[in-house]
Amino acid sequence: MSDAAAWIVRVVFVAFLAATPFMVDAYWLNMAILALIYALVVYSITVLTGFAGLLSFGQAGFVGLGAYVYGVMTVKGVPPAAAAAWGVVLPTAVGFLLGLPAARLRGHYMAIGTLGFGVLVAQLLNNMVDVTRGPMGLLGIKSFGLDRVSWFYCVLAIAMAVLAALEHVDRRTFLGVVLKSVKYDEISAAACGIGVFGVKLLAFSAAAFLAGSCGVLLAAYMRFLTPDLFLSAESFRYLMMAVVGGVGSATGALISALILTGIPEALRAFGETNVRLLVYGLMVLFVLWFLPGGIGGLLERLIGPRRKRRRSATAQAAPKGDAVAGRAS
Amino acid sequence: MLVQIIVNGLILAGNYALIAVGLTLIFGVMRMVNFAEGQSVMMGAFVAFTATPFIGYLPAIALAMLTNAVLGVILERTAFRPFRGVELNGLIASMGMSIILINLAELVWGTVPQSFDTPLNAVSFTFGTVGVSAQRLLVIAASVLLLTCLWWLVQHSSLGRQFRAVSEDPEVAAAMGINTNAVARMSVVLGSSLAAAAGALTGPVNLLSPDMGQTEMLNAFAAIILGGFGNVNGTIFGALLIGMVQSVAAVYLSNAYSNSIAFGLLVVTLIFFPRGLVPERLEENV
Amino acid sequence: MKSGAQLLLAATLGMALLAPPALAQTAQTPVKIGVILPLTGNTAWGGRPAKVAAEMAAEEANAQGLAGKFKLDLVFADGACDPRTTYASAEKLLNQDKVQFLIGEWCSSASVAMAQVAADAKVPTLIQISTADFIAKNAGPYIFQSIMQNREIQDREAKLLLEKFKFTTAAILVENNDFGLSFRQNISRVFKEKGIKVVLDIPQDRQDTNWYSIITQIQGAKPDIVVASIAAGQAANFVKQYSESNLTIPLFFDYPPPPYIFEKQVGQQAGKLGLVRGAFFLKDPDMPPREQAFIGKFEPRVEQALGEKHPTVHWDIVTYDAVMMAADALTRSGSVKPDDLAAALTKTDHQGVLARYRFDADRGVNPEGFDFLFIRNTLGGGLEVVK
Repeated sequence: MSDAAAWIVRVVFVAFLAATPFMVDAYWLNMAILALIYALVVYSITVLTGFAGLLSFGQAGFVGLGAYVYGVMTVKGVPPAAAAAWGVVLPTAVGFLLGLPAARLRGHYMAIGTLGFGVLVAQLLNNMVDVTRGPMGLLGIKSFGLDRVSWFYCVLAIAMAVLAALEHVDRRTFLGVVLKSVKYDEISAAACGIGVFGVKLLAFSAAAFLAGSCGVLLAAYMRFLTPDLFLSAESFRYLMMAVVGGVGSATGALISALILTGIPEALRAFGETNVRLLVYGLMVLFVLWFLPGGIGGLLERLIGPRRKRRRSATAQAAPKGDAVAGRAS
Repeated sequence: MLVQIIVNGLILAGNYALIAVGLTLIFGVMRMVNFAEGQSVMMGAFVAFTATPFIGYLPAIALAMLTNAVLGVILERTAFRPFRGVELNGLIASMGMSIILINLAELVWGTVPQSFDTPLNAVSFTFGTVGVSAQRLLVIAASVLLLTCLWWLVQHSSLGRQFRAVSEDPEVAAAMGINTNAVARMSVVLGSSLAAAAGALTGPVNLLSPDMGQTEMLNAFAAIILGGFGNVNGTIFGALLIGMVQSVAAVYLSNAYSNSIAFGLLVVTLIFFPRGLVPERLEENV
Repeated sequence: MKSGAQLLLAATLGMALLAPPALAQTAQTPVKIGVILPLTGNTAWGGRPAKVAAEMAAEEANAQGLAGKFKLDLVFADGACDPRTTYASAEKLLNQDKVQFLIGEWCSSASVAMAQVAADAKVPTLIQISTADFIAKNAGPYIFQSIMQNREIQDREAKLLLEKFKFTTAAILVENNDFGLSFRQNISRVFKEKGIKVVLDIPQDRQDTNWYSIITQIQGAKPDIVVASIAAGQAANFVKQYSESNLTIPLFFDYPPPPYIFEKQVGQQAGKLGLVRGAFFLKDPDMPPREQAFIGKFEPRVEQALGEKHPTVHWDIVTYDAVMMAADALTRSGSVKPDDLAAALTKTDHQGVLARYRFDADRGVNPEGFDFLFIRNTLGGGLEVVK
């Protein structure tokens, strides 16, 4: 497909999303907003795992941190805009600090190390009752006073802007090349003068930034928080979204966030939650069996043969010891 | 007090070790993380619970291990074999399997936690002033027995040599005529039945519910990393360390953060030893 | 003959055509009431019978015209005792089913989620089971909490404890969930006031099933009494582990699961320990006649609906009462406008099955309407009221 055709597909896709409020009722619009907010944290995995080849099991920790910083501050009377700024800055800073030791770890060591961070944040949110109200739940969070349709267009704009930025970094900038070189062959990258540690730290902080933003939006939109929303299981749910989307494809991440948030609701027709989740698990397995590249891989095949060639060239050039997909070296 | 802390620590350690060695075997052979291991624990516990009234407790443990061996074969075919080389997909696929298993168990056994009483629960020994039920001592004894068997299997049997060959270099192992698929399947079968034993043994100490096994699995991860991924002996050592530290910390530090303490220990260790206390072999570095 | 048959046909047709409007004249205006309960997940044991209680209340209210000119039309949704599921269910009820009133959830964290959605949509809401403090106060003018809240429950418990037991030192053990943490706070305060020395004060993580380290510490601290607040599955876990440790220090429990679960799990062990707990209600011969009447009609019905025997618990009763309170508020307001309904709810003075319900300025229920008692496990595996 030519570039022009690819652009047409993109425009149609965005137009389709933008028309959502006219096609669905308030309930599904709510789901779409949540899915677009969750897309941010799935993007964070795209950056970490897809671009830089790092694996984190603790993204829910950053989301929870962002959400609670925003929530607690607005409850204490800080204006929402300032609270939102803190809610983004703090997780980013924590991500940077955590990155200092974590970026030195490899593969699964990093994954489990970050899992520890996620467990710690969840337990802190639950136990620091004086600050977070713990399991009693935080109510009375102030927001920006937007109605639902405005919320939808805001988060759609944010999700699209981040998507465009990520696609740009991935395909058109030197940073994208640097990230890939770190992902596929760390030693050669270092030999070429790339500061591998710095690049990893950057990816880690950027991911924390995206996850923190997701938390802020979540808190501002839902306006209640409980620690149960940020348990470690959530980190794995995000990871599942990223993999079904095809790790490394930001577009796939967005579509996967939309689909995997929507499906459990659409499956309500099955009645029983158990049966519903059973079908959900099976669907994830089917996607992995028949679309090993996830949704992103499918998209590449459909609309980007030129790019696919380039991709597979890099993939072949990569040694079998890919930090994530290969040995946990 | 001290005896109590040690007994508590050993029970935790035995439980974590049984789960962790399974995970580590699978990882060593296939470079895959089995996220359904916690659910293998749960299935083992429920199978033993269901079978005990008919065949007695000890045979029920064996039955649970056998049933889970079958589950292991299924897991290997659905969640691991299709994804050789794309480990992240295998991880998510095993996560998908764990969702399926939890919900199946909820449909079969319901969501109300069940009390699993064995004759050994009623027998209790007194250490100092506090009673310890025979069931809890059995957890320790059986873990030691099973882990010793596994150690022998890995170190001295032909299957163990194949395990080690495949985890060192799958291509060369295949070239030497080792059926890597069969070895991979055996690793999941073993891992899954050891998890079943963990569930069947600790089930009567706690209660059974379909969402059991998750926390234990997270702690087992910490044990594996401490001991070095893919290394059976290191993993057992890691589990012992985590169990003991948790047991001591629960008494002297805090109970509200017990999982964080395990992971805190892990993170501190990783800062000083980024490759675990018992590092993986160096040739895997590249 | 032919014309006779035609006449008959015409008459039948005419009646068939006339019948619906005739019915519609007597039928009342339907009001949709959303009820969110944990119908799946680890609290489904409670949600499913409570659903039957709600259905029974709606049927009675409609049959006896207790909702005035309105006909109650209940729409159920699953909250699974989980905030995210409850949030989605509340969204669905409000936006798709367009319910005009909400009742529900079980777990406080889920009810908090529901309260926020309902408050934003300005839909009057009754929280009938969750006891976390001040959910209604924090969520704003449309939210009401028709159950005694934790601080009030625990005040009663502390008072009763001091009355029924002789002790000067105590250990407080809680699970760090909402019941546990507020229990710890409130009981510590009362004990401090009364000069009871708290020798051990431990919150344990709710995902940690290993209570042995706590039992070890109890052994070391030797308190006169152990007071614990541990919920759901963990409660039985603790009792089992406590009993196996041969400890003989009396044990008091706040709020374990209902007898048909808890006693099935660890009735034997609890009997051996003589476990004491606080409760709103125990099915025994001394209970008030209105409770006896409720049990008489509810238990056969729930057995038919669920296919198994289900002994009545207070969660069933308060759900029944909540639907009746909604009917009562509708009758008095005569309108489904949120502001009218909320105003009517504020003036509630309803004699329910479990209690007499009146609301205070924070829209929490007035605790004086509730009875509170201590019950003890007996060696035979039964339960008795502590006199």
